Amino acid sequence: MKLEKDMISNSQMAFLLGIYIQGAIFCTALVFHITSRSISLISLTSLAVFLTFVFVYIKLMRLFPGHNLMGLNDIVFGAYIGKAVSGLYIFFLVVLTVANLRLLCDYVVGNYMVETPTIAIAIVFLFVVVWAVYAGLEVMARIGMLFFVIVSVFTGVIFLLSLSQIEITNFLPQFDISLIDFVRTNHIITTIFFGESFMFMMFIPCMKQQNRLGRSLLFGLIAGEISLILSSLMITGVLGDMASISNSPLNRVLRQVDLGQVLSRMEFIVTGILTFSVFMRIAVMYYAATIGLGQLLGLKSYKPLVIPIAAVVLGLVVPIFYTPSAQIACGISTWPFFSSFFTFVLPVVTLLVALLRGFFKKREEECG
Amino acid sequence: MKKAAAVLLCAVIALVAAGCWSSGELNEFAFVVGVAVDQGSAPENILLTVQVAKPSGFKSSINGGGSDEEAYWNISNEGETLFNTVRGFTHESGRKLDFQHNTILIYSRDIAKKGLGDCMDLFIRDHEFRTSTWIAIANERAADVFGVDAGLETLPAVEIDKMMDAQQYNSQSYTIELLDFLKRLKSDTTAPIAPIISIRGEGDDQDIHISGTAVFHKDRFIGELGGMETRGLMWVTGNVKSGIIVVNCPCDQGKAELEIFQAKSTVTPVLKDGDLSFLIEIKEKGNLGSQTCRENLAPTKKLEALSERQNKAIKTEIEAALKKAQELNADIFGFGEAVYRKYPKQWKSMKDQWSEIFPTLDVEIKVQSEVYGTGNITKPVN
Amino acid sequence: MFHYFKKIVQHLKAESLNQRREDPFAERPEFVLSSDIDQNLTKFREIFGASNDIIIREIVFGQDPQVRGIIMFVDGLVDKKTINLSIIKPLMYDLRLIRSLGNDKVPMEQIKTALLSVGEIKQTPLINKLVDDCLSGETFFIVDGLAEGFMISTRAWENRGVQEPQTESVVRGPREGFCETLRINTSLLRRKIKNPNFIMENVEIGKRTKTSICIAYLKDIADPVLIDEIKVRLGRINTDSILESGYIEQFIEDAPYSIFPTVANSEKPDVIAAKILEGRAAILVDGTPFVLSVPMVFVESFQTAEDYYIRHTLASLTRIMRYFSYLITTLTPALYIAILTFHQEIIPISLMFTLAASEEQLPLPVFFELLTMMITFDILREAGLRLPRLVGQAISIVGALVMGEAAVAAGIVSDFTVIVIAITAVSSFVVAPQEGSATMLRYIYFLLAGFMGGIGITVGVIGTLIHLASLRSFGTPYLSPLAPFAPCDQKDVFIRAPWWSMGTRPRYMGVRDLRRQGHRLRPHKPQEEHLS
Repeated sequence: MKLEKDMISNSQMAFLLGIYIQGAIFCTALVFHITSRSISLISLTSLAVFLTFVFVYIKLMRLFPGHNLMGLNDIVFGAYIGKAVSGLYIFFLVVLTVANLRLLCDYVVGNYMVETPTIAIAIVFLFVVVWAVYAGLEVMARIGMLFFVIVSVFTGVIFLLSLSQIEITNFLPQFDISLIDFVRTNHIITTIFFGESFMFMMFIPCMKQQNRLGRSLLFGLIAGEISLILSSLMITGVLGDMASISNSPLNRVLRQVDLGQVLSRMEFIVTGILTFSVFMRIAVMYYAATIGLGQLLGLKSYKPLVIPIAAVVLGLVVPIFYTPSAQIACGISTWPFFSSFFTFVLPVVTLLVALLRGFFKKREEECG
Repeated sequence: MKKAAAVLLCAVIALVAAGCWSSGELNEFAFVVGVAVDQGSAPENILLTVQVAKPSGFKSSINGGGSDEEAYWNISNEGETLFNTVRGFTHESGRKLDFQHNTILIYSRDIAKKGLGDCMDLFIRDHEFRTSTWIAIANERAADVFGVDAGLETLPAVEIDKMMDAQQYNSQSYTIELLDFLKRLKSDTTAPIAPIISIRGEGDDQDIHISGTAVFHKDRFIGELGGMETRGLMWVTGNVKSGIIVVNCPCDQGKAELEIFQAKSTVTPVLKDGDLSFLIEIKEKGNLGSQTCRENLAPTKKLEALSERQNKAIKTEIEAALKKAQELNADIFGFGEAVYRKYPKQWKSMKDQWSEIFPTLDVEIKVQSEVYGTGNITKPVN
Repeated sequence: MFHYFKKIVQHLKAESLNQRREDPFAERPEFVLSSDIDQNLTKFREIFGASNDIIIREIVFGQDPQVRGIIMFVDGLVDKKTINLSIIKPLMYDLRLIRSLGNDKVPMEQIKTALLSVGEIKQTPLINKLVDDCLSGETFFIVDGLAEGFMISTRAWENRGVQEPQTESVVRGPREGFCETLRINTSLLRRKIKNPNFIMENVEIGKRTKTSICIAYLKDIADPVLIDEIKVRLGRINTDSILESGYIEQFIEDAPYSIFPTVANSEKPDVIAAKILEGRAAILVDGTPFVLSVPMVFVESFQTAEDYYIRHTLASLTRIMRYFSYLITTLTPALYIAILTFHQEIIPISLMFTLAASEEQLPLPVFFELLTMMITFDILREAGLRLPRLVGQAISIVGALVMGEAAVAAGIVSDFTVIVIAITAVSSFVVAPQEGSATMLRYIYFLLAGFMGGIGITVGVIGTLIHLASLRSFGTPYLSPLAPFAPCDQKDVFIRAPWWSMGTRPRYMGVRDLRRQGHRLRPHKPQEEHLS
């Protein structure tokens, strides 16, 4: 059983994934603290690594057509353990929502509204997020597509404007980092930028053409990746080594952009536009958490859960990290491992258990 | 209906919750256009001078065609630390200073000699400051620069801002934004540089003059380059946009002035048998701008002769800069970074000894210039 | 004191209960005509009471025997000439020429077929029906001894005629506009679409006003589900009066609380015909020149009739301008306040100090200054609209020029504020169908920006887009073809592609017949062999 009744088209799914990946644009501070020169290339290798996990996701979805992540937990692990695993996922989704909301708030507070308390900004953003979640998946998919176009266009324009300030020398030499640093950076990008999109397993059953699943996911990932690469090229090219000490390198780049002294200092407008993508990211996470919980509790509609979860998120958004720098430190050290458990380990375990319990065979028999 | 009311209520709560914490009216702020940092009266103190724009000095429809009073106000405050001093201005002015429109950051030579690191962090850390402001070193007191009446602009700081932009037409001072300064500062080997501002003239006849380049070791001022040496540096870094090169005419009876149109440089580190050397190649394209001799310089042969002389002139400039840099042991060209880019593995062993390697570096300079046109006439009039 | 209030409350409760018991819209019992003419006459006098515009004319006709009859009509709604020449005269004079055939007291069949020279005659025994039809301009005729009445079509009343509409004026394009008479309006449409599949179905809504409403659509194009839905929604309306199409609009729209209209309207037959040809349905209401069309999508507001008549290049440019105007009119005051109070850094240095100088001595915070000006503008606009045209001009001159100038000179508002309000005001008139939503959005964004600066605007825009994306108009997503995105429908959104390239109708309405013209219609040069 799944709670979501809206159906969305494959292209909408792809663009929703695209804007979701784009939403990681504000997380860029995390990776630049380790190395700056090779981020653009590492993000490509990370995408390659992540694609292997995407196969796991797709395999799971193919094995249990019509069931989403929570539904297949019940089938694979049985009613009790399955519920526990689903509970873990929901816990993670809520924490993820909180962390992303906090990141957005810190970005705004740190750069634009210094005197405003974080919680106030959180309330304002959560208000629209809740609105979007109430509107449902179909509406989110529709605006996701619009936002994807708007954000992509603006990223492109900013990239073009900053071209004059990009110095090629900042990129050289590529890959002059220790293996450990490379693996760490790769890990961070794979989990935080891409991996946390595992929650799309909640929505995949709502897609109209299931047989084109892989193609849509790949398109979405690449579409999102392009914006990320553009922004990391900007950051490395303009800031060079300065990127590694900045709390929000993206904002620093936006502040540098200058076209003939007229189109300069436009960062608040650009940030406003880029916020669309982060907003969509948070909304998707929130929505996944809400329908997951609704399904776990066996409710007919997820809507009664929206406000209680909002209250939880608001309660956690300030205490979750002590300071903005603590969030960055956590994002570099602990978070990737914490996140990997849910995004990679659990799905792989689920697939293995499904293998052991012979779901492959059963399916073949059904088909044969 | 109930639902709509609830949503409206939530919206109002959200609005009020986030209500106008960070807002302010234009006339609550004093907009700073320039910042100067000087040595204070006590050795550990700094004297901060800011130039604030006075809106009432500007033209508006209310007070008509502007007033005779000056449109700016220079205020100073002394203190031990930077941010405290900045906030200390509220003891003297009714408005909070706002640095979003700051155009330039001037340090006095004394401060620069002691090291800029102590009074720079605020300008990078605080969200009001921008890393796209200019940075400059004043020959005398930095505060005095703001006291010189601007020639064309209403505000001296804005005048300096425009002057900094105009320096590309002579390529004799290396104007640098704070961000680039910081990038050099953050690098292990490259030496930061900044243009030098000085005041010329006496009394009412004072002018601001930008020329020459201050060279730093880490954050400390260690020496300066003259105009020619600066252009030598800029040839290497590829920052020459325009400028005039004066050479003797082929007949040696007058001078020819060549205008630089395009310049391109490539810096190649060569590592051969453990010996490091550099090859600098400059490609330049210029134009005959003016001549004092009576000879017809238009024939190709003459132009080639001119470019031969131009090659030499450029080479001399570069050599002068190189000599000075090696004397100061300051890698202003970013040679170290260039080695790192090309030989990242070998660089690791070289990095720590760079201060020993750099002064004795072997540099080969190849200049290939071309005098391309003769302007709107071929022969001189007489 | 307390008891007093209690009494009032009880009284009100009782009253509301009473009202609930007497449902004014319960079906009245049907009365049937009797064959006794006197009885009928008293009944009609009872029904119509003392209305002096109801003419009851008793006549006696026939020779052998003489029969009494009554002719009844509403003065002003009928063509008196027809009544005199085609009803009364034949009955009084020409009947004598006919010999009585058969045993009938009155040769009714013959009178109907051979005597009354009018277009349409109906026969009914129901009094209600007779009364209703009489009130809409028919003449009725009853005869002694016959339990049936005749409705004779004599409708004719004064109307405004087809004139150029006040709204939606065009430089190029037809200048006729709908008028207040339903029949003329349907004829205007029928003249444009000469096709038997063009259906106009009549519905009557309003217990007291009995307003005729007409659903017009093309049977082989419009989605049948849409037509059924319209009928269902119209059928649900249970009201006593429909005076304008706005009444219908508010009863049938999808999002009653939204600031965005989900039902389109137009005063021009060519616009409505185009919409019908695209697969929409139109709803014509008697008594108003404004015709509704559904479903409505957001981008429809940015299309004007003239876009399709002038060259497509200019049409595309002006259409893009229209989108910009909408952004300008909704966002400019918000951006201005956000920049001036939160993000001063964005102002270029050269402008900064002039701006600061003009704001320097103003008594009000810029938020209230702008708010005052916005409200002033809306008042001026309303005053200009409601007053007689000549006075309206005076108002706009006094308001806009004198007040604006004086306010700046007196140092109450800054000249920049006046510029901002002026550009906002001018662009608000560009997108006429969304003018209401633009005004609302302007105030919403302005408040958000005043409280939270750029973040407020961002949140506001996100909220608006969520709302827009969640709206539907008769099953069609309001933001289509943008979201959900339909690549094939983009030819008529931001640009207007040339006519020969728009081979299909918009897909989002689920039309039955997608293709509207042939393939490869692009004009090209005559080929060489033709020339030689």
